[in-house]
Amino acid sequence: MASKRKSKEIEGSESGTSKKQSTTRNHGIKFKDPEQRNRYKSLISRTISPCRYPDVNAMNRLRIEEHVIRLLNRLALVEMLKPMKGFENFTYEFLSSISFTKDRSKTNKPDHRVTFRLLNVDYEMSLEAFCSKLGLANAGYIHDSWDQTLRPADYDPVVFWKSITGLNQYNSCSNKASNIHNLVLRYLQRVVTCTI
Amino acid sequence: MMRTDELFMLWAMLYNHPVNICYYLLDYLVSLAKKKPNDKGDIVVGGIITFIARKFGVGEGSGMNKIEGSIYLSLDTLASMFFLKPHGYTHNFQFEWKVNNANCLIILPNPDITNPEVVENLLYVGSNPQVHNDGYDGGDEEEEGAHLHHEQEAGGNYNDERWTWIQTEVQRIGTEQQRQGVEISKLSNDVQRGNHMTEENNQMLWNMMQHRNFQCPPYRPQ
Repeated sequence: MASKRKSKEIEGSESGTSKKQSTTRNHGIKFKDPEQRNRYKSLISRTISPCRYPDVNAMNRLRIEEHVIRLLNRLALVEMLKPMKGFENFTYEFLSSISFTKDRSKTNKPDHRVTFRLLNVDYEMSLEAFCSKLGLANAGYIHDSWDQTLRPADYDPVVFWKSITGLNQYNSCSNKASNIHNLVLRYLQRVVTCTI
Repeated sequence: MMRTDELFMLWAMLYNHPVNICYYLLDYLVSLAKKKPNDKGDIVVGGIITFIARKFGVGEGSGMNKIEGSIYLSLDTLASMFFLKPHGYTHNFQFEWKVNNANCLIILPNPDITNPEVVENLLYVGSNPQVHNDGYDGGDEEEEGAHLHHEQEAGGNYNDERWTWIQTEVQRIGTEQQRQGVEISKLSNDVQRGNHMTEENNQMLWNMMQHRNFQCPPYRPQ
């Protein structure tokens, strides 16, 4: 009996250790399907770095803080861009499982759906519910929306690009941010490129 | 390379147009998640995903393997990206800002010339005495140096405190603007109804508009 119990304990212990190693190896993620596993494999082969948030010391020294914050606040980005630590397990699990299905039926209330996983729990909801959780409005322009009513009538990327760079040539695949003249806009571009 | 979405965000921020931020955020995260393993560019959205996790009740206590490195667009980081550089040997509080492939040189700080809401400050043509011509061609070093990694820098607590303060200020200003908006609307309704606009009301309206940074001519009693 004693031997059996010992054997059981070792087995249990080994199984526990093995399980722990396995979950640590996969950042604790239990894959729900092969697609998530494949995405995870792809993601972990890439370099992961921290977000680059606006730095109040730097903005103070350059005396651009007021303008940067005012412009970020116009898009309600101030809370979202408060510096936060990133964690590998959240990042890999969220990115390996996220899907965003756009409802392209021409209804007044399109039902865009969001799904993702965190700590092996499935989350599925409408874009409206996602916005609500984040404390943001499900409203505002989408410049390339198939729904014409959501496109800003007075936005022309070519004209705007010229107005901030002086360049006549606009190529969406090769525009370089270093051509932007204004310091505040270029700093904001750096912030946006690291976040949304 | 600059994404078309980024250009649109700049336009919306500059000209104060509402944008469906969550839509863009999700779109970006999905496109990032589906990139190939050999794709250029680091994954830099860890902090944003922590922000989302928090909103869904998943706290940082469950976080494993913190993503290490500097999280700020600090001056050192900006200098290492060739975004700007210290000006001269002894001027520790001045920086050089080169634009238009370095045909112009601006010594920073210079809020008069960096305010993006002054239309002349969107494009520098070198006619301003504060903008100097410079023959150096900086090329595209900034783009190449943009993904350099750096050690964690000091000053994190200061940043956190300042961010908390900024958020409180933004909320306070929002409430104040809402209150003033109601008052302005009331005054406007009074005028539309043909009520006489008193000198006192006129002065108050102008003061409020000044406070809200509306462009309006200086107030002169009639």
